[in-house]
Amino acid sequence: MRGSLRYVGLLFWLKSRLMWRNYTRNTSAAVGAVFLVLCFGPMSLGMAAALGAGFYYLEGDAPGHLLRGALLFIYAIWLLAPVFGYTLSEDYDLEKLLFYPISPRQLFAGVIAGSVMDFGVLLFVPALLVVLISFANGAAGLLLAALVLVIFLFHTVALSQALGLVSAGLLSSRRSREAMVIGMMLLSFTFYAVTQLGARHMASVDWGGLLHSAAWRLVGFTPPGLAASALSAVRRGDFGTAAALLLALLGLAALTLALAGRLVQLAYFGEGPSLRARRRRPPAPPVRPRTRPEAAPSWSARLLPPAVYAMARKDAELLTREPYLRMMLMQCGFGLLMGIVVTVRFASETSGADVMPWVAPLFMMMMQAAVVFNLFGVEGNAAFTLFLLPASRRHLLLGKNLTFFSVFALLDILAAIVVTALAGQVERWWALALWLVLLLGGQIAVGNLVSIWFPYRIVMRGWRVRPASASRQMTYSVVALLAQGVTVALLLPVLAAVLLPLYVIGPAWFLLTLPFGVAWVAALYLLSLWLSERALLAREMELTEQLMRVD
Amino acid sequence: MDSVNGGISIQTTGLTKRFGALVAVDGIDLTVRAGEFFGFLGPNGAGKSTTIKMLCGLLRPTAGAIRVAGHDLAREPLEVKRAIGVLPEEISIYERLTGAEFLVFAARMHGLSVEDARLRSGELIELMELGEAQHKLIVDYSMGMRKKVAFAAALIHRPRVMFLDEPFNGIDPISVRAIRNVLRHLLEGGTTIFFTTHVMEVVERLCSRVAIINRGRIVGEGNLAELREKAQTGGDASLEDIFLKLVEAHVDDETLSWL
Repeated sequence: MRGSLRYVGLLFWLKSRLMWRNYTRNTSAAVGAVFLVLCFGPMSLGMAAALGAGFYYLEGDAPGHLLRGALLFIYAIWLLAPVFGYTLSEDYDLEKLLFYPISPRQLFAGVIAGSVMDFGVLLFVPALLVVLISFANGAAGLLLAALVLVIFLFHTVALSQALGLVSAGLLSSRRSREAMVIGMMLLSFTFYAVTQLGARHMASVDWGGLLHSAAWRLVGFTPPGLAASALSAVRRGDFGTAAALLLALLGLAALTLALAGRLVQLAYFGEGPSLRARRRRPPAPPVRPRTRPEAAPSWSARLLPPAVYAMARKDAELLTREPYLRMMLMQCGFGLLMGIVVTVRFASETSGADVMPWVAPLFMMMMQAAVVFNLFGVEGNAAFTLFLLPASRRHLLLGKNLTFFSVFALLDILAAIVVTALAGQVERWWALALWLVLLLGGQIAVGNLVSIWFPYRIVMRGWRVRPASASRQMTYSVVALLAQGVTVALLLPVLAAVLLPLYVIGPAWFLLTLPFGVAWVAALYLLSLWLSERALLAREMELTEQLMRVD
Repeated sequence: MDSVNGGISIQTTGLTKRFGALVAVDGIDLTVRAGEFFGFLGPNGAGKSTTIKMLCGLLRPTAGAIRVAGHDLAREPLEVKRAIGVLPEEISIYERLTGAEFLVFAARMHGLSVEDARLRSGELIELMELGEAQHKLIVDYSMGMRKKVAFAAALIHRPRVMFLDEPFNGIDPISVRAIRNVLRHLLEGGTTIFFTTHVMEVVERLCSRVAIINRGRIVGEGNLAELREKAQTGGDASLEDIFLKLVEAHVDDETLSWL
């Protein structure tokens, strides 16, 4: 026991040091932390205030139901976040601890203890404090209530971390990861359908009936339900029931710890797939080299400068081989599918039918932006070799741009045909396709500069992309969002050039507006290429350092 | 000294590791005596790292048994980890700690008191000539300095068995000499050293016995004379000659057409 506590203390110290250094040495992490506090801080305080008011003013069983709902919400957030690939905790590499005489269970207990410093926990602290104050009843009650909350939190975080381990460790193979992406799509569809239905029927829900339904009673037997019941018992002064429920929670927490310990064992000790992002495969048996007749160079090889062709070819190969790019391609397909669903959903409604084809592909465009805003992300250690090459930096960028433009433009044209057909406006497919392709051109133009100034190394863990810390995720999300905003703002004249003749001034104007739109994007791209080439030459050392480092 | 098992420090029986259809390590039987400087050689992809990972308890074997420092690895993994020090090929340390912080952390993880941890870490830092850099973050260290810190961390709890994967790679000659001195002291104290490298001269100079692994199987084991006999090379054959013979390597004299 003493040994376990020492390990927990040491791991707590380790995490606090690494977190602090992460913020002090990494501007993006520090900025991300500020954004996290600014975005979620008010929400966290608002939730606490709303709960406080509810517990104070509601009467009878209502505060208990409200508490069950609130704890269920917290539980769902913690459990769903790792499933969707988000992390609520600051990540650190557990594999580095495996050299020490520490058992998987001790390792996991240390990880959980360290998670009290994570944003995911800190943001719920105000709400949990309000619960504590509202439900404590005397000194003994305060102690019991605090214990209930601590055990509930421990169990929740442990289960969340265990799910994260499952996702990272057991999904490291390509097949399972791709199966999971498809699973995620289905889950997202379900989520979309449920929220749509929920939003439509919110007003007509019989809340009284729901609170007395079998489903709600069943929630009472789940960990958040047990915790809520225990706290309600504390508030009533029924300490015996509260203690019994606390014991049940404790049992669940111990079970979770055992399960998580087993998962660590599976994931890290070679019983299951390893947690390493890449496992070195032993080499295949030697193969006698075959002599093949030399194929004639393709027209693209003859037409393009060698460096542009080589770069484009390399990235085209990576699109089908690199797990991250494969995943992003699948996500683009998923984005298109979402667009189709949205179009079908609104096609029958006259108010939305005209607008939907123009809105539906946006999700897909966001997925494309994620790739073109971090062009060098998958280079990793190869960045060192890439930037050693004496090739013109313009050619390197052109090669990368060419690959992504070719692939995504095809997808955009397909999207335009499908969504306009489904919306009954197939005659406008070419206008939408043109807009999407020009938007893609704008994204690539902005993306070149963003990729050079805000690069981050892509390292897949399961289907999660590192950097996995909540603060850094936040920074890159904000950067991507701002870059998207800039792209759209820069392309407003192009949008006007496509939409005005179509809906307002008449198609004859296309003769004038379309060349203008194309020229506008071409000019933007050329300007970006000129700036990016210089920026790349000036920042190659910083870029190499950031791309080669795995924090 | 490990008196358990008659002074045997590392013993594997039928050690096997399969990754799907691929057999990375194929039923190897190894015996390393306590206090021995044991070289473990093999071409790239032969199964060296997989074997070391299994011996350190970082990878579960598909079949076979491992005893390290008198403990059955399957039943007493933590006892084994208390007894061993590992310097892996890919250095695995927390780069956002300072060198001094990391050494104290490693010592504490092995159960040393704070005072002992600080004392030993101070001595190791001095020995490795890391004094000036001890309060800098490891992320700012050179590759050689990282290796020295990792070596110091593997040593700080005075292990009975040390696994060293390419320990001298990237380290300056002064530190190589310092590390070799430490290793000599460890050997005199009965520590077993399990050592891999691709530099045959180093193995020839340091190791008392050598095992050569190829395609997951041990193709030769013993001292230089025994290996010469096994490889049926002449009496003056170097370890490199023996190695190439045993792994059936064909080094062609062909050159590149465009050179």
